[in-house]
Amino acid sequence: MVNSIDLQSETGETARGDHDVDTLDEVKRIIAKGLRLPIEQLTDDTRLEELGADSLDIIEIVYDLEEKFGISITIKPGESSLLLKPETPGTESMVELGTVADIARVVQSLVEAKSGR
Amino acid sequence: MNRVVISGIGVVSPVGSSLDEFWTALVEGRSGIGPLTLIPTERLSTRIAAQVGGFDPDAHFSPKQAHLLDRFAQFAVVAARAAVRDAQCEISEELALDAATVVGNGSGGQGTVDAGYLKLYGQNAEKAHPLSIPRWMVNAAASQVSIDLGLRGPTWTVATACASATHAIGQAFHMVRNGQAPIALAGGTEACLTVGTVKAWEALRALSTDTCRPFSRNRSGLVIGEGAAMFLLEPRDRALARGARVYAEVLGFGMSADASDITAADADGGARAMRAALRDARANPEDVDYVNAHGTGTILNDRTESEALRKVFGSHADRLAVSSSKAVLGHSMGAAGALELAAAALALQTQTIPPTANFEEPDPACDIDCVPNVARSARVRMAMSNSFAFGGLNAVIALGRA
Repeated sequence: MVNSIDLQSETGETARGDHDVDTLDEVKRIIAKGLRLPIEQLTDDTRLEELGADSLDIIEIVYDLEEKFGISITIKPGESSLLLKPETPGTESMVELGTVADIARVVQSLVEAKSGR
Repeated sequence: MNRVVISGIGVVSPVGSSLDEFWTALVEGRSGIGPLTLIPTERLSTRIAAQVGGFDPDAHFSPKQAHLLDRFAQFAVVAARAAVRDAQCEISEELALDAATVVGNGSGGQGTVDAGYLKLYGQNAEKAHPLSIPRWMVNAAASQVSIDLGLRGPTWTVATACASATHAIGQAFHMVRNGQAPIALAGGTEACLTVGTVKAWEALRALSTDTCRPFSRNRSGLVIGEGAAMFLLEPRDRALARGARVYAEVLGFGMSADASDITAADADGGARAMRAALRDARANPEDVDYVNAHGTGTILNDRTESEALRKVFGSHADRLAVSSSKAVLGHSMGAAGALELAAAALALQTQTIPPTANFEEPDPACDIDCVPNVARSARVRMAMSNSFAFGGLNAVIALGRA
């Protein structure tokens, strides 16, 4: 069971930035679909673990986010025994993913980094 | 040593997923072979299969479970639940702790593999789906059965191509006989109807484009099927004590390897596996009244198997009924041995021999009574089920009356 996950871009650069409304909505939609929940059950402050997400749910949601936004997200395994990817150098600073808004913020900054904004 | 019986059977088959539908179709020789509609066929020469029609995962699983289980694992879980239900066997915590789960399977989650590779190579996707491995791993079916039913004893998968299920059930039988497991859920499952798999079988020139006609001179090859069958195996004393209905007693299990050709079967190898099963059952060839043949409907299998039967049974072969269920069920690879053992068990229980359907023309090179087209009421004391796999791996189970 993953209680919290840390995200960073694959270059090891910490992803930060404000999310815009469209991104937030899309992220909510993807999380709701991944957890098979009505989207109304998600607020900006909802934490994934509150929704009962397990490690497979989380990697699938991250995959859907990557597909949707054309970005690449590295998951730090944390407690998950399924994710065996070793820690890569330069991953010291990481954003802890807590809430839906946090996830949207990370996604937004990765999208901006990609487009060079 | 325990005597071991079959007290529960669950099937998911091209001719229905209740035992009643399954057995009626076999006895009537009503074939489950029909148009292949599960996958696009534009690029295939093969347009037929024995597919499990109308299987709705949502009728059996939560959305989350349905999403995580490939079709081959779904079949196994549905069949396993049905076997336990059929046996009316209460699996207590204590019993579950040591209960064995042994599932035969040929090729894992081919639907997942095929869809994944289409995306990866065909559509240049950057990443594979995160559930690819848990869905397609060959042991997923055994694991999901164990998870679903809470069975926590010895659990594993046997992969010996078309003999997988027979090897799996045979090993489970020995475990229960030896007291290594108090009960066992054993059988086989397969769901390999994908464009990639069908193409690969086409390349081997083994597939029929019309239908499957085992032992018939105008045979045209095998037809791929799918499905699952699972059995509850338990000690005879335990079954009798709880007043269970018993289909058949498992008497013997034999295995052998041809050690010759990777695809062409060898009569000596098949014969040695049948003899080993008889030896394990402490029975003589003359005690057997019915053999459910491997009978794929390829010229090599049918002739070699007929020769193997002659070697084992000698002149008794003239009085032996031999039929293939593959004209009805198609060839479901890793599940075939389980579905066919169900046919053999039901033959013993009902004292009825299911026919070889689609039979049109005797083949002088198949010197056996293949019970053409029409079922037969007959005294059946012992029945055997043969599975001869690619790779020359043979497995045979001998059953007796309950």
